[in-house]
Amino acid sequence: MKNILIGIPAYNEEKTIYNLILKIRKKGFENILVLDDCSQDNTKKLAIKAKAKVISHPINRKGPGAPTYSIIEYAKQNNFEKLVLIDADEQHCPEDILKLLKYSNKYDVIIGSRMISNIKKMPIQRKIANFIGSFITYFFFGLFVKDSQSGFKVLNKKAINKIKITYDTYEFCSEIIGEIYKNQLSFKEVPIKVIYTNNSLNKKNSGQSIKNGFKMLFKFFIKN
Amino acid sequence: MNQITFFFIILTIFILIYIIYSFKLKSRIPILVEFFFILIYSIVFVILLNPSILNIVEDILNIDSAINFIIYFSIFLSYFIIFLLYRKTEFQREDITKLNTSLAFTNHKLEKLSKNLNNKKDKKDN
Repeated sequence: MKNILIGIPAYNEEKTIYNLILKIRKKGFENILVLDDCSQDNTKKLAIKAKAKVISHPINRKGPGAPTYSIIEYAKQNNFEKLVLIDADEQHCPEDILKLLKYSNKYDVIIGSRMISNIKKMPIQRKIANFIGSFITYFFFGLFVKDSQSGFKVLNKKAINKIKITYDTYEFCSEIIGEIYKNQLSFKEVPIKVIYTNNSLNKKNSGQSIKNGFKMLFKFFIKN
Repeated sequence: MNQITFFFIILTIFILIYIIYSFKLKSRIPILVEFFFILIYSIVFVILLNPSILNIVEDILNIDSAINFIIYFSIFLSYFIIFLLYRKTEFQREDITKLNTSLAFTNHKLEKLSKNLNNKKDKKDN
């Protein structure tokens, strides 16, 4: 597991980051990088206490796209064979990392999909936001993915070197799909377990909201 | 010529002088943008001095009111300029993010170096 990097973009995740890192370490992963997007709480301290590597942005970039860009750059510069991206809010189960890694020898990008087996558990506003996100992604980038907004992904070395992220906020999820299409990378969606807690649902600017879906549409129109 | 027209003529002259002066001071605004605004205000100046020019414009374009046309066109152009500016800021935002990442990596390396130096110092003292 030495050539696998677990990348966790984090902003104000002191409630969950410590436990998440411990759970990941129990699965045998040593290289855990927390990319702290200038958190105002104890995210950095707790991540260091859990013995993860922590790199902090000097200024907050207002979304998970910027820390994900930094994680991919880090993986590129340090020559990792595989990169696992996982959310810091314990929405994803570390057990599923091994499930996704099983397919990573055959495919360039593995996407952990909430829309294959766990759609009944998903709150309705998230279902709508995901549908809008997937539709917009298909419209602008030509590839339909059931869960285009999933933050749980595995990238192999080819994908790490080819994928370029330019959006700071949630648009980066769709941009990754666009990069998969543009660079003709192979991908697979694998069903994963999802845990929705009060913490993950009530976070400010929490994930894929309907408002963010329409903001995404506007930004894609401007740039493309 | 009434007082309002006279006021706008003076104002237009001041704006033109300011734009030309800022261009001479190498204000970092691209030449084409400078030229565009000089052209716009020169046209405004000519129309203010001789409003009957608008009748010629109405005849050429075969429209009822040149003033209405100018207003609608100005609104249309303003929104397009806002769009272009928004696009420009988006690209600048990307550059800031890249710099932010680069700075974060540099700070991380410095922190590591500083820790190693402190550890070496502690070992020497012991």
